[in-house]
Amino acid sequence: MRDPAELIRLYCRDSDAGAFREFYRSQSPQLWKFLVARGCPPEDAYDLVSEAFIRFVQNICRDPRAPRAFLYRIATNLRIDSLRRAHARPTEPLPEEIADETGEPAREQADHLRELVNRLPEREQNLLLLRYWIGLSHQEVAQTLDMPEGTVRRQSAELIAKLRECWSTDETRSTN
Amino acid sequence: MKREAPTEREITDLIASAYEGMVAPDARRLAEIEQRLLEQPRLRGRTKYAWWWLIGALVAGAASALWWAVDYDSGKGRETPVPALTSPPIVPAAADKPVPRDKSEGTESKSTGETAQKQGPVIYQRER
Repeated sequence: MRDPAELIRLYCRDSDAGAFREFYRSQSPQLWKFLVARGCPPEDAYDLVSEAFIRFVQNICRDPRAPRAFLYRIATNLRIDSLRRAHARPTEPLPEEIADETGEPAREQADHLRELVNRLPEREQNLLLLRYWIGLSHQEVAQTLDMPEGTVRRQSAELIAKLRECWSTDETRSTN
Repeated sequence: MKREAPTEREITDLIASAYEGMVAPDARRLAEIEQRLLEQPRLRGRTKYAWWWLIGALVAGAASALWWAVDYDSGKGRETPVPALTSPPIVPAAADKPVPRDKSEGTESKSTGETAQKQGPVIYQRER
């Protein structure tokens, strides 16, 4: 699979629709999952993916250096807009049907982790997921969330430590 | 059952696996979005834009060629008197070739003749 930035560079330079298609196919499933993980209903997530890519196509060639950061920034903003319109809570529990089908202990761990992540503020959830799930670099996360890169680095480490601490506390509480 | 808390490294790995294992989106729905995207003005527009560049370049080339052709013709008209101006010095020069030579030869011969006539007796005297 080619580098997303390279694909978008080709698209912007040569109007290469094939490169754009490859970029879309590599990014759209994960973007949909990200939106659903952030509490977006699955049906609405398709609309947000569509809208995010339309805006992406219209604007990316102005500065095609960090396409994934730009895409997730659009999607995150669209999600916030849709929440404002719906007057809904920033995060919703994950729908039951999206739970994975891994082994029982792993599933328990995953459920527990998602629960802990959902307790974090909106911005911190985005930071964690973009960095450790979507795999954006610190710099890309900083661009996506409009934060200084140093803050992203510091907060990433702090949040992981916080999750670990909460994990222990929760385990202790649940065993008592 | 009490489990030990995962290490920080394990937590980061767990974040990825916990969310990546979620149900995947419907591929058909994503393909529909893809199709709509490829019909977007930006994607189509970029192709048209490329064609406009080609057409623009051809028109510019034709206009440039026309301009040079017109300019060349008008320049030709202006060039006609120029050789006329430059030719007079050439024509006399060409006309001079036989005339002045003859004249000069004549004058030379005349002058040499005169000198010969003047010097003649001297030479004759010398030969003697």
